Amino acid sequence: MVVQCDLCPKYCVIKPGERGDCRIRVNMDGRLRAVTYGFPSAVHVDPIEKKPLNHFLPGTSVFSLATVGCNLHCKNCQNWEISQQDPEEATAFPLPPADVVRRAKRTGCVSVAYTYTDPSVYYEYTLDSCMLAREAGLRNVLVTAGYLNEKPLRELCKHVDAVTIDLKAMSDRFYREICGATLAPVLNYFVVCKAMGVHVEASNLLIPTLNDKDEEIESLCRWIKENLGSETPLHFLRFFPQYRMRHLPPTPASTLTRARDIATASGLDYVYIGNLLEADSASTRCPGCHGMLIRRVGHQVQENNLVDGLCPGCKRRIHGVWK
Amino acid sequence: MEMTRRRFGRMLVAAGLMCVAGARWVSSRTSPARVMKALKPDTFPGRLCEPDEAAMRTEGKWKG
Repeated sequence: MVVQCDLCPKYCVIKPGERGDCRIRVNMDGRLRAVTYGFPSAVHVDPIEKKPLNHFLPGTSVFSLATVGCNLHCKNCQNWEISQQDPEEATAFPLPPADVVRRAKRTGCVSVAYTYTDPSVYYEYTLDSCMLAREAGLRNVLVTAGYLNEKPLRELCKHVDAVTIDLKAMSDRFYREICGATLAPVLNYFVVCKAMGVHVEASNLLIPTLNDKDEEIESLCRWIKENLGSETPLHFLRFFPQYRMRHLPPTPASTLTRARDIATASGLDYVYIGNLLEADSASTRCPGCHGMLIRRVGHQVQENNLVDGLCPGCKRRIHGVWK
Repeated sequence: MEMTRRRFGRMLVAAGLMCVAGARWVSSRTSPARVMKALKPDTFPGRLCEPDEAAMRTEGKWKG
């Protein structure tokens, strides 16, 4: 029997013996199976700042895992070796949800991140692990491109504490030509997460000549401010030539600082630069008195001056999850 | 047996029902069943390995 996968906006129609666009949802004898459930290909302990999440339990370690497969096919993908890999070619080890929780606790992590590829496609594994992790007192973090239908997203959000969503551009054309996807479902993902009380941060990889014009950056910042609030942290990330986009140079530092200036002028309170070692580009300052709140170098927290989520200088409440 | 008006009517209804049943069977074979949640696999289709305990405790090379 032919099945239609209703998980993501691609709505793949899959014949017996074939697989969806994500490579890992397979029609086996008329039944849809997620063939990487419980078989991650990447498992590590990362600093939470690497996700990137700067307003969620700073300085803590997060148990991070991924299976192969993705429903986007970005030409600039930085993790393409696993995101664009067929499960038949992948190496993995069995790690059922109960073991995810056990190992996360054993390694001293306070949260679990479903990351590296996209948790949208290994949805069932993510959902089951999230439920067990929550029961065990761990927090759950999604690192995603946000390409998931609303119904499964709402179910998942009930068990998720924080999400960092990669908003690749404010252009449907960019999504279609570079990523093989569309923009509208991604914007809806942001709105649903925010509405369901999940802590949301956004990232935007600036690729020279493709999405780095002032108007595009302004449009992205305006959308975030109007739909998610000025308190939403935004991370501009530096592009490096990768995968099928090796002909473009790395993003110049000047482009990243210009983007940060545009975002700040647009009224966003917390703007960061990632993948670039520049003084204070990853540090958190109070939007009221501009005092240093969290000093970071790369992904490392050097100093944290927050007192119960308040600026010690002007007592302003700083948006985030701090304990 | 003589074909009466009543008998002809019954044959017509039966033929119609058979057509409907046939059409439903054909559509069940061709139109997709809509599924949101997938089932778990029996086995992993790729290579299985032992977990690398040391690598697992360190920062990953992957972005995100």
